[in-house]
Amino acid sequence: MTALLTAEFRKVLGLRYWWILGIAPAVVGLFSGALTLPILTTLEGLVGENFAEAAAAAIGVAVALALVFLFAALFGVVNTGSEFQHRTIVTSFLTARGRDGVVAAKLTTAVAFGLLYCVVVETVSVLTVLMFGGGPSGDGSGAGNVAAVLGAGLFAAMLWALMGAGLGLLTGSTAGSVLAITAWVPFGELIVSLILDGLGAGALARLLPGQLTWYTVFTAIDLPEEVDPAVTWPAAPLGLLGWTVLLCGLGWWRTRTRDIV
Amino acid sequence: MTAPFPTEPAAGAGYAPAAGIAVQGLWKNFRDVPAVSDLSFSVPPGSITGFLGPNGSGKTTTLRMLLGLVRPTAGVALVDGVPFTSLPHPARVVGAVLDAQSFHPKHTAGTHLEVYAAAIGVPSAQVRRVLDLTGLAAATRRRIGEFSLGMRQRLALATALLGEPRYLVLDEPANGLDPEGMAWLRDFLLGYARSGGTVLISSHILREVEQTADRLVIISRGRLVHQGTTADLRHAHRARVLVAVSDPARLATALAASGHTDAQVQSDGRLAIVGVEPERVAELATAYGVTVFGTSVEHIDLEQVFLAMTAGQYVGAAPGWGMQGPPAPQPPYPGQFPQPPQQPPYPGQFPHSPQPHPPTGWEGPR
Repeated sequence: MTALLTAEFRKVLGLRYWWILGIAPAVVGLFSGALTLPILTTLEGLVGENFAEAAAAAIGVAVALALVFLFAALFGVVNTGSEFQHRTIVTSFLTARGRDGVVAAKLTTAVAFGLLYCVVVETVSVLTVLMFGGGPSGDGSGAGNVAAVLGAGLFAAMLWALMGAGLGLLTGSTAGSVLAITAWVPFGELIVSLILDGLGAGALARLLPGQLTWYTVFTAIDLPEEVDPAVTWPAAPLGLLGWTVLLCGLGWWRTRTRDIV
Repeated sequence: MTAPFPTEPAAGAGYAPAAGIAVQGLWKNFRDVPAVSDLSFSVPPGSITGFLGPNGSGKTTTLRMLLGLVRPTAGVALVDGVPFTSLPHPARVVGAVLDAQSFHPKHTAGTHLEVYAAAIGVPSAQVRRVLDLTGLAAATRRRIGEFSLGMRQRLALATALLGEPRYLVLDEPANGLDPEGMAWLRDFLLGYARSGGTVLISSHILREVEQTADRLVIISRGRLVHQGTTADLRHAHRARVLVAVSDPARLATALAASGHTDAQVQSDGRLAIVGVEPERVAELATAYGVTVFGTSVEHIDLEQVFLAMTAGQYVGAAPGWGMQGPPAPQPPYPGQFPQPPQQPPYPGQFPHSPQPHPPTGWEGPR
């Protein structure tokens, strides 16, 4: 397994897409963190005492995290789908004992880079929040909330990277999977949610992966009592985990059974 | 001078001596379309076996089933007595060149080989060695997307050689190679087999492998039509001497009396004789008082034999607008085809010993 992981990392690091995909969320993390906290601090009278840092963590960092999740998923797609696109999956299978090891190595690599993206963006975001916001409040609750958001963000980034990888394995198509994810995240899920709400199945819409991701991140912090999320911890991360298991499981099964012609 | 590859078995490989490749009752249907039907053949250790058939005859599907990339509908394909997917270190046993397009175009040749060297578990020094061996050392840092088809074929072979395998499975490796590259590949494969390696090489052109392969497996429409040594095929289709004589029956009798029984009177009255030199025919004719009006030697092209064996898989419409197409290939000797498929021997019972090959720089697989 170590050999296959080394091979996978060499594959990725020999190309440029891994850092190109990381640029967008890092840049957004830099600016969203720099802008959000000062704005919220000036609005502290409206949002409540000592709530500015928490809100900044939730909004500023989450804006960057949204892109981290998207680009982690895109990394996963490219990492697995390009094997089929360029037919390198043939050599990968011929040099490994069985297909399971190759799939496991690819999923592990996706997790590693998803986490890497998230760590970099979170670090950039938090540093800019601290720099421009003057640091969290003295009682430490703000820091705790930021840490909770960051932790939930790492978890979600890992799962989105896996979902992307699973989708790439399932479809065997980079272009199709990239298109599916880039359409689903900003528009697709919203449209499906509206349709489900219109059909009176709004509860199901709350269980779609994008919404579960936000419930996972936001319910990780101490929310005001008047806020009542539809899905809370730990149901939200478990639901997201369910989507991940579903996509990875289908991708794994498809890869194990498909004929490489 | 050090050997290109060590000849000692790899530590931990833990294999019994090679038993060859055995394909037994292999079937593959893609939906309702049969690609391979009840195919059985064997590849003895140390041999170079040409796997021949027209395009679409099932060669690639068969090789992919052998390598675990395509699941057979029925039957098994074994390497050293086990399926490829059960080999603990597959790339150290079988090196395969299936597709000259299986590369990421943005990788350099060096990076590509480093990736698979890591996957196989061989040191990076091996990358340099296979690059040198395949003549790609100067292109180590070039992106594969800039490679010609011939360079890609060499890189695919370099990848296959990373694990110093005992078997090479090559699917049309000559595609894209220039004459110099083909000559190099031929010499390389001969050296590889001479040092104990086993080669299964597919082609749709017999001439490409005729000089290299000591055994031939020929398929058509997914079915075996011939299996045996190249020498046997040549022997079965030897040159014949056609003589126009005053008394063909008398000459045939004279030939039979001297032990040459393979003589037939043709429709044009000439006598066709196999296995006798023209000079000997002339001697016998003189001795028996038969006048010889003319002699010619008809050499049999094995490519024509191959085409006759596999003819008719994809028959196009007759050329239109008054064009006259070339005649369909006919069996060189009417009535000799189709040959019944030979029963393949079981692994370890190969009756054939590899022929000696000229030495090359290849010191052999482990």
